[in-house]
Amino acid sequence: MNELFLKIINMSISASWLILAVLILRLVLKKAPKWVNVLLWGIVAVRLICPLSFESALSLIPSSETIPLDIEMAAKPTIDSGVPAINSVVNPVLSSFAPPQHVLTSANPLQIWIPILNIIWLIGVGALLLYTAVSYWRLCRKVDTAVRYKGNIFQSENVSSPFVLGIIKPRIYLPFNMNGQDLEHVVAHEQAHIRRKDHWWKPLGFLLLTIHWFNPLMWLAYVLLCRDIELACDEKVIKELGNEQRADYMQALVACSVNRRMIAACPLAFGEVGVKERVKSVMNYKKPAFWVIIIAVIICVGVAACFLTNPKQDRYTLRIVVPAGSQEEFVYTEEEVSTVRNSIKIWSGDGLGDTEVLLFPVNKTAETGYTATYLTHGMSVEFDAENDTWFKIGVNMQNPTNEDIIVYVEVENVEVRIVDEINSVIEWFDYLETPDEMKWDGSLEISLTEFPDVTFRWTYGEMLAVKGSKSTSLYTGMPIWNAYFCDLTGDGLPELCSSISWGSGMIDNRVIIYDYANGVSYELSDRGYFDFTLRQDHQDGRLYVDKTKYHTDELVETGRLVFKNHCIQIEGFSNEAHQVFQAEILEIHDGNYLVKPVEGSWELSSADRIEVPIRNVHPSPEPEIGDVIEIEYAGEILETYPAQIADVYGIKVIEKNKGFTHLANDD
Amino acid sequence: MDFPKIHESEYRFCLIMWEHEPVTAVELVKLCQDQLGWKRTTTYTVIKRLGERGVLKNDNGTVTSLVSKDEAQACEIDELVEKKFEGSLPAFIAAFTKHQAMSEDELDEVQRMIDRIRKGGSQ
Repeated sequence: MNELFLKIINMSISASWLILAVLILRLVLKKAPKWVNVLLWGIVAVRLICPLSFESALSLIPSSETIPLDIEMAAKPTIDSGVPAINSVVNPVLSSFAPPQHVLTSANPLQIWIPILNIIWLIGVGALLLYTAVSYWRLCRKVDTAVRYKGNIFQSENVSSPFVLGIIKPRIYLPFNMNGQDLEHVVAHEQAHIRRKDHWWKPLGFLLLTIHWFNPLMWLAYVLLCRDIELACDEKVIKELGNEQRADYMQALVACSVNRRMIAACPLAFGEVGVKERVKSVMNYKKPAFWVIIIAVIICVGVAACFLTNPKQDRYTLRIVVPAGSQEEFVYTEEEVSTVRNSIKIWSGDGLGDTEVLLFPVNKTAETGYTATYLTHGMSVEFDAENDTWFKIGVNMQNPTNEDIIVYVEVENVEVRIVDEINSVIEWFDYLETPDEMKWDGSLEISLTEFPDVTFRWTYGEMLAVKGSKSTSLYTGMPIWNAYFCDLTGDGLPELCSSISWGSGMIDNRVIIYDYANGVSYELSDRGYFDFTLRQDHQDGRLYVDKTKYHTDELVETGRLVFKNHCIQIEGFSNEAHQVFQAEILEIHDGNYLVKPVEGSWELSSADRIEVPIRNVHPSPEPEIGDVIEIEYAGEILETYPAQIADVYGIKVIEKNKGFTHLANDD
Repeated sequence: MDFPKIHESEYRFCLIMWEHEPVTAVELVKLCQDQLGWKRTTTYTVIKRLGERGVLKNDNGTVTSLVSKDEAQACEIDELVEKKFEGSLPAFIAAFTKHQAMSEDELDEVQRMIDRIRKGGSQ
């Protein structure tokens, strides 16, 4: 029901643009025959009646759907009027209605307001319908004793000025005291109304006014429609008349001019509106030149083409490269898309078969998770998408061949940005490239504008964050070989990325990423099996991780350092096909979680107690006993008791324990 | 007694009634439909309304007039003279004869009527 109301408002708004255009055209078309004006109002009516419209590049309607139909559900309600000036005024006001973020219980106040406005609208429609019905009925009563003059012409003492009444069998009603010549002209006028089917158009106009009563432009349009109908009707009558008869016709016009209410519901009256204007128009009437008619018709067709169609939506074709040999599940667009309409529509483009598609929010602050949806050729998939969030579009595709495959997706309703991550890598130092220059007894310091009150201090063995007189150890190494700043997580604040060596006797190389903003670190290591080192690629300027066999230079894999699924990963690494399972935390000790996999998970059939090293934990909320966490790991479980997982790539809480949280804290 | 008011459209109805009376209501409905374009209900409403005003009486579906055509016409003229000619009959006659050319026969008839009134005759 609210949806119908919002649809009506949207139709009203888009028709308003057309009404404004007609108002302007009426000024231009003063010389044109008057029926052109009526035809223009007809186009307005079509726009108001027809709920569907096709898109065209010619469209001059700024927006086909100003108010999104799900605005009351939107986390951040916005309109899209198609006019930036209007949007920038209205949207901040609408946004102030939005519930404070992270408060789940409070509703968007529009959820209350829209139904109220809906009811007010319905009451208005009902009142106008009732008014129309009552005045129609009273008029019928008034003229029921009218006597037939001839044919469909009736006379009644209750009629003060002539009019046409009735839809199916229209009758002309006249007063009794009307003499021969006046009567003839009046009847000619009313018969012309009937021939022009004005007794249909006018009630139709009034019906549309009844529905769109809240729109002042509609009232103006209806008043002008009534005038234009009379002028066009006069025109039709006097076309056949000589000059002398025209004077008589005007005489009759004046004789019948009676002050009437402007918006009378139904009947077509002879002396209804603007007698002065009509007399002037009759006097000035010249048979319009053929070319004037041609131009007028062209204008009408133009108006129809420009205003009956909806604006073409911006459609983008985005490229996705599926690298040779890729076994990843999802591959993503380089570009990122964002919407202001709370939804994103995707079609499959060239080269893409039927596959799964998903939206991946690039900044982790996005509240909604986006599940993959099956995309079939020729059919669109529409995702709910938060406004002002940037997404990459992913498709589920593997590439067993030796060559890159390029596929395309088409996307609508969006802005597209090309992410330039290259600039966001800041090299601090890299002694892996120049080991001879390593300052074993020196230190380095750097300050970033992103962290204004912090100085990062490197000595070969430790990375410190110095804040005033207080310094905090971020991580240690033996030594710390290099350091880069790069915003991997997309929160606008760079992480500190380093290669370090570790251990004595058995020394392995690791990569550590320290998210200073959140105070959390990620580490890539596989002690005794593989070494990991970080480097900046000289060609594309991005950070890459090389995985070599332990203590050799034998390169196993190399890939870009990326942040995905809430953890740091190496793009293109074979172990990226991580396994994920959910488990409840039973105990926390010695840097491990002891967990029990949830019912129904494959892991539970393997072991009912698993030790999980506390590594790569998503900082908020912090896992506690009783919480259900999601663990991303390499897929390998060591068959001890309790069973163990070696490589953990990500841990995050998906369900807080309700009853026992405080108990566990108090322990 | 005050003469009952008959509106223009009701007068059209009365003309039919006077022509055909005594006449059944059913017949009047048919006649009114043909000549006035009235609905059945409209005819019955008008019969009832005029009955209440004492213009006609309806005895079990047979309608007869209580006011003759002449009386009604005379009354209309009285009203017209009163309204438009300030009650002056000569002014009315003068206006009437100004535009309507009268034949010799008509003039004689009018003269005879005047003579009759002079003698104190009722007609």
